[in-house]
Amino acid sequence: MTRDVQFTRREAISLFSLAALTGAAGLAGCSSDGSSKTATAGGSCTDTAIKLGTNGDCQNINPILAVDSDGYWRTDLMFDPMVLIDPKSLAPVPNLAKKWDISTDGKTYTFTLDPRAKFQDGSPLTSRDVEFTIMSMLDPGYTGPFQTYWARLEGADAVIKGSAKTLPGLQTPDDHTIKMVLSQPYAGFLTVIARQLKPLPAHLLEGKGPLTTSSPFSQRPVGSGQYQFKNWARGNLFAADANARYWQGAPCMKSITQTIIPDMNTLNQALVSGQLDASIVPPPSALPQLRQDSALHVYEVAPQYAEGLWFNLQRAPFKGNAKLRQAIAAGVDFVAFQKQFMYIKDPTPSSFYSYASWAYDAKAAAVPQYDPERAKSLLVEAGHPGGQGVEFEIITNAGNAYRAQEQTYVQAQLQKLGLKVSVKQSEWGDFISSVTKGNFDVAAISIGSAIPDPTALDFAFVTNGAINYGKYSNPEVDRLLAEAGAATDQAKRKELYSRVQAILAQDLPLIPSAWYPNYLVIKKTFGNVDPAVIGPYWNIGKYSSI
Amino acid sequence: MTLYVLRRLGQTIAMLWGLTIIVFALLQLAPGGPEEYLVPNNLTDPGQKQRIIHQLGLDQPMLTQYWHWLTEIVRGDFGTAYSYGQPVLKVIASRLAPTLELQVVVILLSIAVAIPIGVIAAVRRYSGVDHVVTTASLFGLSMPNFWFALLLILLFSVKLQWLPAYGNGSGLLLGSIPYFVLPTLVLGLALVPWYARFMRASMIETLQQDHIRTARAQGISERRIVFRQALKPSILPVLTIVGLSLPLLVCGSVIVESIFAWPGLGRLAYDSIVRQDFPLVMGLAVLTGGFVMLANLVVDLLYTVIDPRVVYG
Repeated sequence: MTRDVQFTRREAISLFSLAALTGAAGLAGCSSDGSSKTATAGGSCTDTAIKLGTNGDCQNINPILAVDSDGYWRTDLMFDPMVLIDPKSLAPVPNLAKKWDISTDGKTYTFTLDPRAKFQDGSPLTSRDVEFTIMSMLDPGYTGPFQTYWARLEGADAVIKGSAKTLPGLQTPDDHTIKMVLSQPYAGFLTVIARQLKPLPAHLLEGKGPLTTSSPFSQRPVGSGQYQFKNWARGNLFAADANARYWQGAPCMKSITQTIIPDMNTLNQALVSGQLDASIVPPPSALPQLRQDSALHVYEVAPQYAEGLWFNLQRAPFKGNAKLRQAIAAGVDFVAFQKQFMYIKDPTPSSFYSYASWAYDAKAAAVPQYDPERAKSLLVEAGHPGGQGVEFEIITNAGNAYRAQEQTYVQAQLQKLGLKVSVKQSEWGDFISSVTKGNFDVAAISIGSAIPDPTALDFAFVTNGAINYGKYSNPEVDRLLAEAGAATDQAKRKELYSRVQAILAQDLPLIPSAWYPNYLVIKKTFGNVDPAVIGPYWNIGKYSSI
Repeated sequence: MTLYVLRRLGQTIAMLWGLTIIVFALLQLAPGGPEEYLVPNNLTDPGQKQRIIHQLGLDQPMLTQYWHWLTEIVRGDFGTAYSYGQPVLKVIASRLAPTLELQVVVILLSIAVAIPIGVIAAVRRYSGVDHVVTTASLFGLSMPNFWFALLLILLFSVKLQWLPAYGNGSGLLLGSIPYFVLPTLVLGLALVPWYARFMRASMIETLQQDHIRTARAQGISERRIVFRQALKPSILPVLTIVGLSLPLLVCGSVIVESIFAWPGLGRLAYDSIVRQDFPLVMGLAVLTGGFVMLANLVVDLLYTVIDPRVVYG
C-alpha cells in the first residue's frame, strides 16, 4: 500500500508494517475534515460487500509466513490472533485467549483459550494447535519472520538448532491452557508477540512437513477467523467471505474483495468513479480532490511509520560527528516539505517515536528543527565551516516518488549551506542490499512507530540491531532499552524511553523526516467505519451498508 | 520444404538455449537477490534471509543452479516461482489467457481498421483524406500510451461513467466487452498507424506496377484493380509487420496492463524481473522466446501461401 504514484509495490505494502498491532490512545479515527471520529453507526448487514483497492499484493496468506502488512491484515481476517489491541488504549484485550496470568517475575504467561473457538471446518481450536503453530516457527527449516519472537521461550535455541524436539518453555496442561515461559522477561510479549500468534489447524497439517510458500495450505488457508478464504488470484485480487459459523458471531460485512491496481492514478480514479469502495493508499496529490468528493469520506489516522534519513556512522563524514548530523537536521525544512509535497496539513514535529505511542515524549524528543543560522553554527562546531569538505550521497529505492522528491529537496537545501550532496536511486533489491551491507552514506528508508509497544523499535537503536542500518552504538541506550523492555511498570518504562529519546535527539543516528498519517478513503454508504492506528480496516467485519 | 522447417526448428532450439544462458547470466549479475523480496521490509531476523537462500538453493554455485534448472526443464518441470509458491507453468498459464484475449482483439481490430485506411490513403494519395490519415498516424505514433490511457479513464470512467477504469471482467464474454474498450483503444493507437502506413506505402508501390497499368489499359475498373489485383500483393509487407506484432500476444504490454490492472503476462514479466524470481523469468524467457521464433516461422511459411513464387529449399 502506498501513498504516491510511484511507490514501489514493496514499499507500498510495507507502509503499514504491523498495522494490525497498533493502537493510539485518544488519537484513533481522526478525520481530516473535522467530522466525528466514528462514522455513522447502524445500517444493514444484508448482502453487504466491499471492494477495496490496493497497489501491491502480499507475499503470503499463511499467518506464520506473512511478511507484509497486507499479509498480516488478510491473515487477521481468516485467523484469530491470541490477543487483540484496543484501538484507544493500546492495551491487549482478550480474543482467542479469553484470559491470561502473568507471573510476578514477568517470565511466565498462562493463557486460557476460549472453549468456543473452532476452525472453519468445525474442528475445535485447542492448545495443541497453539503448540503446533509455535513449534512450526521454531523449526530449523522455517522461513518466516517470527522465529526471533519465539526464540524468547525457554529452550527454544535447541529446537531451532534441531537438537531438541520438545520445548520446555511451552506447556499444554490441558486442551485450553497454554503456559509459555520466557528465558527473560519481555514487556512487549502480549502486544507484539502474542498479537501475531494465529494458531494453525494442527489436524490438517501435522506430519506434512514444514510449511512453505508452496505448501497447499499457504495457497488456500483454513483458519478460525471471521472470514474464510474464497479466492486469491496472485497479483490481481483477493476475496474472502464471511464465516457464517464464526464462534464470536458472523460478521456484518459479508464479502470482501481486494483488487490490486498497480497504477496509483487508476486506483484513485476507480475510487472517484465509484468502481472501488475504499482504499488506504490515496496518492497525496489526490487528497484535495478526494476531500472535496461528496460521495467519499477521507479519514486521517495517526501515523505508524516515519520516513528517515539514516546516517552511516561507520564512515566519514558522519562517523563521530554528531554536530554535523545536527547541522543537516537544522539545515532542511522538513515541515515545509511535508506541507508542499505530501499534502500534510499539520505536520508533526520530528521525533523517533510516533506521537501516537505512549512512549513519545515531546520535550525529550527535540530533534533539531529548521534553523539555517543554527545550521551554519553547527557546521562550524563540526569542523566544517561553510560546509567545506562535506560531500556525501543519499540513496533510496526507485519508484518511491516521495523519497525521490525528498532527495532532491534535501540536496537543494544543503547546497545552500555549502554541502555537496549527490543522489542515487536503485531497484529495491539493490538498494536494501547496499543498506544492510553498510554500503551507503545516507539512506532514505522508513522507520517504524513504536506502536503498540516501543520495543518494536529496539532493533533500530541497539548495538548491532537488525535494522540499525547506520550501525549506531551507544552503551547507555543499549542499557536503557534493555531495562525498559524488561520492566513491567509502564510509568517506569516511559521514563526510560524519555531518556532514550533525549540521547537519540543528540546523537541523531537518523533524522525522522516525516511522520506520514494513514488515510482511509471510503464511500459514505458504509457505516460503523472506525479507522484507528491499529489498522484502518481493523473492524471491517462490523462495516454495514447505510 | 520439410528440410527447411526442420532446419528452422533446429535453429530455434539452439537460439533458445543461448537465450537461457544470456538471461540467466544477466539475472545473476543484477545486484541484490530474490531473497530481498521475500522478507519483511524492516527485517529483524537476519537468519530468515539465510534460511530462504538455503531453501531456494541460491547458495549453490551459479553453474550448479543453471544445470539443475536446465535438466529439470528438459523434463518439462519449469520449477516453482519464488514469489508465488506455485509452479511456473501454472503462474504463466493463469496470466496467458488475459493477455492473449486482449492482444488478439487489438491485433485483429487494428488490421481491420488499418488496411482500409491504408488502401484509401494510397488510392487518394495527397488528397485531404490522405493528409488526415497521415496526421492521425503521426498523432497515434507520438502519443505516450500511458498518458492517453489516463485521459481515457478520466473521460469515460470518471466523467461519463460509461466504462470501467480497471480489470478484465470475466475474460472474453459478452458482459466483459466494456473492460476491453479502453485498453484496446490505447494499444490500437500505436498499431493502427503502423499498419496503415505500411499498407499505404505497399499499395502505392503495387499500383505503379506494370500489370496494374496493363489492367487499366484493358479498361478494368479501378475498384476491381485495387481489390482484385493490387490488394493481395500489397498485403505481404503488412503481413511481415503483423508478424512482428505477434510477440505482443505473449509479451503483453507492461504499461497498459499496469494502468488498467489487466492481469496479463506483461505485468507478470515486469514483476518477476524486478523481484529476480529466477524460475519465473527463465520460464517466461523460454516460452515467449520460443513462441516468437515459432511465430516467425509460421509467418515465413504463410508467404508461400500468399505468394506461390516464394519457395524455400
